[in-house]
Amino acid sequence: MSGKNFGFVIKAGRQIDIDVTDSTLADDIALEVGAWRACISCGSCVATCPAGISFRSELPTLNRAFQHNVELPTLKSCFLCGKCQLVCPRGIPTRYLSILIMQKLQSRKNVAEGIPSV
Amino acid sequence: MLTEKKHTEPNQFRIAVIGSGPAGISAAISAAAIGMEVDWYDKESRPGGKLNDYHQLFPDREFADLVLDDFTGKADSIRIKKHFGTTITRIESANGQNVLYSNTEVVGRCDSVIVATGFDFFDARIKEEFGYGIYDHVITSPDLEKILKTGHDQLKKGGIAPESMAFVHCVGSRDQQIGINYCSRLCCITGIKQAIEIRELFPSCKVYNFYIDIRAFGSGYEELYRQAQEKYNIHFIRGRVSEASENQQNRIVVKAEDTLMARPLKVTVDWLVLLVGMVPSCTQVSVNQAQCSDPETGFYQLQNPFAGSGLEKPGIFSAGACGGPMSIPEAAASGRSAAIEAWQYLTSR
Repeated sequence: MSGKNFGFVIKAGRQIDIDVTDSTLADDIALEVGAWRACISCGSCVATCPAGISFRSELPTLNRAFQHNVELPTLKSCFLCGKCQLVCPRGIPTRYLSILIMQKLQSRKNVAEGIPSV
Repeated sequence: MLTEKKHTEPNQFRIAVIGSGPAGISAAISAAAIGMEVDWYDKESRPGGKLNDYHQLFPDREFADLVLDDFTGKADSIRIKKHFGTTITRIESANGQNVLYSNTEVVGRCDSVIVATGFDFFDARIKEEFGYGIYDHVITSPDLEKILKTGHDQLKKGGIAPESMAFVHCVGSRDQQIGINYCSRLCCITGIKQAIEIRELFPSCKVYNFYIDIRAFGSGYEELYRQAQEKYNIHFIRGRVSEASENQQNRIVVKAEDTLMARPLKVTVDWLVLLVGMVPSCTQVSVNQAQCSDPETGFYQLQNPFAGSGLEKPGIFSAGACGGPMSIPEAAASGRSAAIEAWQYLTSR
């Protein structure tokens, strides 16, 4: 896009464009843990996390803002203490989800790079 | 006072019920059950009010027709005289006698009146940015309810099921820009219910609900909300839609902020459904020329909110959503309580 200057621009990287979102990973995860969708974004998990991870924002990220090449680096520092699971008012198995999401991401990465799965 | 018991026969009292929605029907049934003579008015030629246009009711998804049949069946009493197709515009109340007018014509006299004139849906054209009345594929929740009732094939385009649909919560509610500060309470659960119906009818259709707060307050509502998230995979996005526009494929492009992600968001949908709020009915009656409405909301102002239903003049009671946004069970309960209050008033005056 060039030519007209309207005095403002919307940065392409910031806007969530649901039309191009890849929701297959989210659907994949929901097949195993349906309760995951019941998140109400209360933030209990974030407030209690000793590793400073925003687990709360992983749901909307995967559901709406995920694209093939996007990684979720924050989850990498999770050491699976399970405190988030203890405080979740919706009873979501967050600890298991943390492992699951990382596994799924890794296997996608492996497929993309041609590494055979173990 | 309980000490001086009067000997009164219920059938010496004549009571008018204006309106035949859930509140009016319940009021008429209850007043007749007490034994009073009931004159029942409605501006339409058949009873039921807006219930006639609904498909399924939240949270249990009963068919509105069956609920209405159940109501009207109970209203078949020799004590209830039906005067449908009569619009009551004002009541003149003096010395315990009330005269009902339809414009200038006197249509009835009675000892007590229960006003159950209900509500209107917010006119979504006022919120121009959502494009209702401008784009063909922007509809309101009552429009969708009628479509679901009369045949959901209308939602298909060229025989193809919609790919995506979005619901906008709080259209005509909690909005100082249009002078409506109150919450209409029931649009949230309507949106949840309709979104579930869409997912059942078109399993491949993605559904997005844009909300400010989800207020699922009633019995069974929260459970339905959770089902909508977990079982039906409806995407609830916290953020108010800023504008809707039509693209060249006649699809609606919706812009909002995903406030939980703190990022602007865009999605293209086949249908945009506006969950319109409840506003005071344009057929509200006046009592002795006064409007009796709350200056803030425009709904009837209750003299004693704890008692529930008394209006400005003694002997005149309100029931149902003409006193503020109300669900069907609440309106029915309010109709029953107004009948009891009218009976108490008549026997103690």
